Amino acid sequence: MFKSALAFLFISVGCGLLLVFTADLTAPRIEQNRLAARLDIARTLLAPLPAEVNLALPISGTCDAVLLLNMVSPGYAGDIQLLARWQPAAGVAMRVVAHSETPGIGDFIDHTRGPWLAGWDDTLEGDIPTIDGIGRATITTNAIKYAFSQALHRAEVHCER
Amino acid sequence: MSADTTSRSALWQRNPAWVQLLGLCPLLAVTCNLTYALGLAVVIFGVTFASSLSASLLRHCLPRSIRLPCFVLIIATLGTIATLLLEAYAYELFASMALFVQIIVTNCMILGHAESNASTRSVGRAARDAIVTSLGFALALLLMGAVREILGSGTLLADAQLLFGSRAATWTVHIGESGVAPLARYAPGAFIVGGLLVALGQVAAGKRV
Repeated sequence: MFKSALAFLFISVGCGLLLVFTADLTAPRIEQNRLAARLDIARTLLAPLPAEVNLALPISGTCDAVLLLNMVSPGYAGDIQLLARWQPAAGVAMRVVAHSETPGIGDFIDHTRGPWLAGWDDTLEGDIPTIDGIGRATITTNAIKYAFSQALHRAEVHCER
Repeated sequence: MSADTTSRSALWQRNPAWVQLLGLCPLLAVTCNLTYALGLAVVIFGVTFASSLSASLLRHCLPRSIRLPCFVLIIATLGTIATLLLEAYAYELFASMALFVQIIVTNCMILGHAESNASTRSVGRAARDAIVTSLGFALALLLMGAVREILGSGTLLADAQLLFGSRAATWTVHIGESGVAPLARYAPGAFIVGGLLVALGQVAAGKRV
């Protein structure tokens, strides 16, 4: 029993150290790749990108023109990361940056795989209940609804300040 | 049975995918084109090799009762490391197949190989078996990826730049205007092509189909 526990502990520590080392080694490059992916997506939402946009911040841009918001919404298989564009009067448009939704069932939200999310560009508060994914993944659709509602709320609070 | 015969047998007659029917989830899900199949084959090769070496090296230290959880832990660690490396050095490929790299820990082929094979053999033998077994699985992935891509899209090696960098963007081979069976790109097509290849594998293994 003692030998088993000791062996398991030894292997756990070894695996943990290996993971920490790899995570440290790859972290700067992963961060750089994620930022580049966000920039590419931002350009599909807003071209040309205004100089004041800084995607490393949770919200960037100006309230009288456009805001870009980094969003996270709980999906079926973990968090869905999104980038939202808010414009006064025009509402919110959104694209998925990263997700782990089930391929073929929940990945319809990915704009590179289908036009569903782009179909909800310029969504206003009143449009959110009509966002539907009939015959699709309910939790994934609800995550997108939540993200739209949060984006509108955060933009409103940010601009009131 | 000689080492060469065993190796040939693991590649074809005892192929882990077509004959033993192991690791079918990534085999069906990722093989919509040859580049993705090649990417996953490389990852699975690395994880199988490293986990088999670890299992063999630790075979005298691990009590039988905790062998399986220890191997799961090691494979999960190697799978996570593969995910991090892929995200750092092949981001676009990672974005396309991340989910299937993350679930490598549940791949019965890798766990089964570590538990029943590598943990009872010397390091050299375990390493050689791991190479041959993962090459057998890679063969299944690549054949499935090639057949599905040709039938579904009429191309071969599309998106090669995701794996080999921008100079590989011109490597795509076009076979006709578009695929003769677009269904092959999707999940139902994967089951049909997979089923036919499994049948072929069974015939090659000398079984009655």
